[in-house]
Amino acid sequence: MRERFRLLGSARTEQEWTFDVEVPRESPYFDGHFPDRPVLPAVAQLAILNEVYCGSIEPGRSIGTIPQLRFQESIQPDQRLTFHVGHPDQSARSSFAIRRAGQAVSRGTIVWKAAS
Amino acid sequence: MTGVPGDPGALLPHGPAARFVREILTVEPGLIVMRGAVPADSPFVRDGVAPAVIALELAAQSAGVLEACVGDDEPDTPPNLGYIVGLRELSMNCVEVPAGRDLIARVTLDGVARPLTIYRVSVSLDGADILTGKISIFTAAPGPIDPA
Repeated sequence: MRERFRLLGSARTEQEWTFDVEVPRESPYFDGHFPDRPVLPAVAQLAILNEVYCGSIEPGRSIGTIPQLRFQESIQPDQRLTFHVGHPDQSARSSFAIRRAGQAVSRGTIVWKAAS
Repeated sequence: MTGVPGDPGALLPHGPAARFVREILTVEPGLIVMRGAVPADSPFVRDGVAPAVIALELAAQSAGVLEACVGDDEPDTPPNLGYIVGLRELSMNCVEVPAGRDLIARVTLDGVARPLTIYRVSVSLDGADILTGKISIFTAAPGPIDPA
């Protein structure tokens, strides 16, 4: 099975979790998206968030609602990305951002729900 | 409006491996209802299910098909590239969606400010909504253009 993405490391601060990811050129996330112009699908960013944050960092959570999220720049293969997930507030709401070389490529808010 | 194609995926810039759309059920200016599915061999699928948020891709592709059906492009023109650039009020009513099962996406035009288009979307499984919300799509002609 081809590698979908590489988790390079994670860290927790008082404000947030961060984890570094690379999506290699050979990742099936790029299959057909698009032919001759690989761009990481927006849903793949959310899938990685779901798998790493909900699967490992905070198991038992899932993405409930997304009040707003902007995908500001496209992501190409082999780029190093840092996911930032703010600790949830009392409403289970977190800030969310993906940065590349310190610049936000995606940014928004996510409200979590407990996985049944 | 151009004729309804037998394979809606052929109207998209996506290669076959990335296509979620299967059959247009209804299409008219400002509205499309599409049957689709998360492919069983999709990289988003684990143990036969995908996170519910992945259904968003069906909605986005359906919007792309709607755009192609109502467009004035010549038949041989390569399809424009559509990028999801924004989500608003997106709500998932379940945690996971089964791969390979028929999903129904309903996409209605909510606003246009070219090259941005806003759609109100819903995706349902067995008659129950699993995802609702709004998506913004940036449309670019094929070429080295970044929506940023």
